[in-house]
Amino acid sequence: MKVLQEIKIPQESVNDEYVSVVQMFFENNEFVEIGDVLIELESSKTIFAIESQVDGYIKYFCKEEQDVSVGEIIIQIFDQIVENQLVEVKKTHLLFEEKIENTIFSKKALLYIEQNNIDNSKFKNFDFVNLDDVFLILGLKNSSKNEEKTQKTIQINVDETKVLLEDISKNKKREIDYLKAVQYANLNSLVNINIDTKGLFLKINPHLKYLKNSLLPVIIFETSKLLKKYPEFNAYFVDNQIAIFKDINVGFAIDMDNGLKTVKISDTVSKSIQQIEKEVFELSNKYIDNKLSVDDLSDITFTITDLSSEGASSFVPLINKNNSAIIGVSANDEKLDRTTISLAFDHRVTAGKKATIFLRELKNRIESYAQRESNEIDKSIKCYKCFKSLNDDFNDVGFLKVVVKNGQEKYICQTCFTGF
Amino acid sequence: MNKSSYYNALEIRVIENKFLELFSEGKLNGTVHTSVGQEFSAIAFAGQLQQTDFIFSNHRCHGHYIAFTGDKVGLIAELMGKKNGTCGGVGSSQHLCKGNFFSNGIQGGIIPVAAGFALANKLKKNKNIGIVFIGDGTLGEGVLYETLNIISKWEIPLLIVCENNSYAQSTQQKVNLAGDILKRADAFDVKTFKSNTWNVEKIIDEAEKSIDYVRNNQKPAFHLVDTYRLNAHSKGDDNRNEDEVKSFYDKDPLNVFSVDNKKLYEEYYNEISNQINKIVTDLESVPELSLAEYFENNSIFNEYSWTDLNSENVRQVQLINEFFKEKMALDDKVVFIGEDVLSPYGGAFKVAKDLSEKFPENVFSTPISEAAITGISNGLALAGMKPFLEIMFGDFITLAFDQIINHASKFYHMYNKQITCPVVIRTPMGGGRGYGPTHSQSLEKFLIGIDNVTVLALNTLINPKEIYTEVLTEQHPVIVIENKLDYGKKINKNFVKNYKFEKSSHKYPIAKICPVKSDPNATIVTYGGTTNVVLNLLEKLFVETELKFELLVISKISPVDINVIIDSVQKTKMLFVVEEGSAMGGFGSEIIANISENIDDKLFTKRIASLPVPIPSVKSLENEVLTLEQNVFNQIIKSLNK
Ligand SMILES: Cc1ncc(C[n+]2csc(CCOP(=O)(O)OP(=O)(O)O)c2C)c(N)n1
Repeated sequence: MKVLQEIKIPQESVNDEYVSVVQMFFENNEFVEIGDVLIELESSKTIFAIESQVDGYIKYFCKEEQDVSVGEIIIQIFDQIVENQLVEVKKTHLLFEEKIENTIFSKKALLYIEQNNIDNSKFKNFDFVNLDDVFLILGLKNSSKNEEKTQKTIQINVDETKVLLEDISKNKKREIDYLKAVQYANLNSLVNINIDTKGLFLKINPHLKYLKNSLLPVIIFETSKLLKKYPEFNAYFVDNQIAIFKDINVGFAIDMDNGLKTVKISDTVSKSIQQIEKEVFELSNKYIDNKLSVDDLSDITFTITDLSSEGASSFVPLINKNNSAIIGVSANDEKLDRTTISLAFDHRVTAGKKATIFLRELKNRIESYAQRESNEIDKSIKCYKCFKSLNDDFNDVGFLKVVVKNGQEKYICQTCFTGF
Repeated sequence: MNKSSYYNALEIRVIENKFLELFSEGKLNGTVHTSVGQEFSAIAFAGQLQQTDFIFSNHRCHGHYIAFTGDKVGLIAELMGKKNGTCGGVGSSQHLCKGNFFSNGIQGGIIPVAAGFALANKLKKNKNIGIVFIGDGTLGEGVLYETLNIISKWEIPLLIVCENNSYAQSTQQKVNLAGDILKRADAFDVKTFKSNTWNVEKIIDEAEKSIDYVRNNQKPAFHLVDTYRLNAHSKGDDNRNEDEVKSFYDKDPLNVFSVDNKKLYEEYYNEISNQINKIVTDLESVPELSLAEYFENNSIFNEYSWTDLNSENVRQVQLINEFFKEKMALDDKVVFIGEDVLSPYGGAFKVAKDLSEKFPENVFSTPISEAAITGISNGLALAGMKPFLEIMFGDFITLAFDQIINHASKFYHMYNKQITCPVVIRTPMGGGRGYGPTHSQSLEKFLIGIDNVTVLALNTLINPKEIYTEVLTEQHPVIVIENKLDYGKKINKNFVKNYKFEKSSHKYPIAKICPVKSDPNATIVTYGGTTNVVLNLLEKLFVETELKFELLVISKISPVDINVIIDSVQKTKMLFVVEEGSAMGGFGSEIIANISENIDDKLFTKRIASLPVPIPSVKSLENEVLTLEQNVFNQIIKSLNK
């Protein structure tokens, strides 16, 4: 009998020490095939599924709704049906406890323990104890080294059907090394920008059905267009490479009573503001009803977190795993007619200047809505540059008709035409 | 008179003259040795074999090749360096291969290989025979006499044809050859024949007689052919007396034929020339082999996982012996070769116990001839057998180096992947038994990094049966290092307190021994005999140094699955490599170089090795020289206190 695949709880999020089992899809000893979804797990950020990489007979080491620690083995797949007994043996074996015969102390550790009259039973479940371990137990030292280690062992999986990998430049590598010395692995940076909201909501609200006085649909809409232009924000860092997503799926964070979740608006670029608004509304309801599917929570390529209703004047949003940036939307200051939006980004992927350009362009695009007059005319025509339809353009001036290089006549929106 | 043999001989001459012409135009690569003047030897011998027979030839092989295979285009393309050449242009003039024809540019080295190929025929009982061509200068190579002795004793159906043109490169025969040529073969009781290339009918008859003798009697023969090469050794290197050359030019049968049968000769000549010129013209536009077609970079960064190690509780030597008993019963292609391997002795370390009684036809106890028996094993492997050669002590493998490096390692690529040579060489290394300077050394450093050769080292953690079962499926040469002290040990996960024993999912598993709970903060890499030395030290080392070691025991020491070591050192940033050979240019140097290339962080690295002196027999000194426990412990402590 051979173990063909062994599944340990992956580290999905840096902070998670455990995840919860949502659903198990097979009975023990059932035959599973490559690609079968074996189990659904929930981390603090998302629900995710684990698939079989082999054909074989499955054995679970967990139950539904149980919390299991990161690194723990939850599934083994065997080449033949497993007798229960064997599995039990294996299971206790995994706990290692019985294998620790006697704790072994280094000379230095022993000397320190003796000199300081430290209670030996503190080290009961240790295999080896050196001076560092003694200090750790006594709280004289924090396990910074261990933290570094857990951060390092985060597995980042790259699905090459979804991303394009690009090597980062030598300079970038040097920059990372340089910055790393100060703040290990947390190489994020932040830029803020203020949006002048004077007259903005007046112009936007007539077009919104559910989310009046919210910038979120417009920001999602405009951001998705910009992500096409600035792909490094629709990407993530992995092993000294940048994985650039082929799709643009902007997600937005919700945190009401059911914990912080990021949900997806798939293929965001192809959607109108109205469609986006509708999806934001529907997904939020799904969140409240606890009905979000795995798909709603996965493959998010960029995130927007909107804390405007909480009254924050500005904050530092945290970049999600497998993303390179996140936008935070703060509350609108009604006296000053001003909303701060913040862009946190992974400095290993992009840089402050680029981020500022990105944010400024977003600001201009959003502010341009305020200048537009409302007038219901032909809505189906599209700007040939950003594919925005007139339907999405709240500007009564409408589109311009231009002659493009090959002599064809096309429409162009005011935003694309005037530039910023 | 056989006109067609004149035609065929002339064909060889025209092609070779064309080669000289192309050479002077800079259209050939490397060098070219022509057989102008010697063609009738090729016609008489190579031309009279059956296609199921075989030929091994040397640097002067074009004639043999044409006469045996008829493949003019393949030969010309090969020398022109074209990808449709018989070896894709890789081998060129001296390294040809097609079907059962092989040539190699090492004087003498092909003789035992040919003997092995012939031995395979004998084992397959198919009545096919083979010829190996050598020049008279090659009578100076020792491996010839090792092979003559063996083919005579084992009655191997091989015909050695010695083309005696009285010169070796620039040196006249009388300068370097003592005594009589035929008497040398006589001394080994090998039947001799003699003929010359000036009497065409006679050489054809005599060649046939010797071929029939070998085939019908299933015995070897030695055929001396007096001849003369009319051209220089290779290109311009001719310092022979002009009158002497002229006298042979005048009596050369093709030249005589051109005078006596002028019209016919011209007819032949024109027909052949036109044909050859056309071949050359057609070939000019054929491309050369690309690097991608020639060399596959088999990256060894494979994914892997770990599972628990099993204990067998059986001695290593018994498991190796069981492997052979089991496999030889199932597969009559498996051949066991070595010195003193007959029962009841069963080899110096008893690996061959009972094998010769159970499988008398497939066990060969050989004379003390390491070069020849390695060559014979190579030949068996080329012929589709699965030879396992035992070199009695690792130290003696130096005598087999030509066969390992210039033959086994190169065949596959130099013949452009037409054949593989799955030879397996097993040998015990290591000291600690007081055997002294020539029976104790660990020579792995000379064996790692040989192209296309896998080097494995057994240990007492991984079941050797598992290793050898995989070895049996290999397509290319494998050298397996065993260890003299390990033979008697049981395959066990040695119980080191608070350590767990795992093995990787690699074909040749790496054993990992790491603390059951703690994160390791130092890595030790070792293999083979020093595994137990390190295991016995782990606890003591922790107590002294505070270091929680992770030990990686490598089974495949060349090429190494380096990513496992990278993954470990990436965590620990400390790497010790322990080996029983001396440090310079060894396994440890290679591992540490590779790790430094792959990890950017600052690392602590240290090679722990034996001292660079011949290993003394006297126990107290041997203890101090070798990587035994106390010595390894001291070296590690010392390196940390620096
Ligand atoms: C092991 C080895 N040593 C030296 C050489 C260089 N070498 C090539 S041919 C040759 C002379 C061989 O003389 P002989 O065997 O009489 O063959 P001939 O060239 O006369 O046909 C030498 C020394 C070689 N190829 N291999």
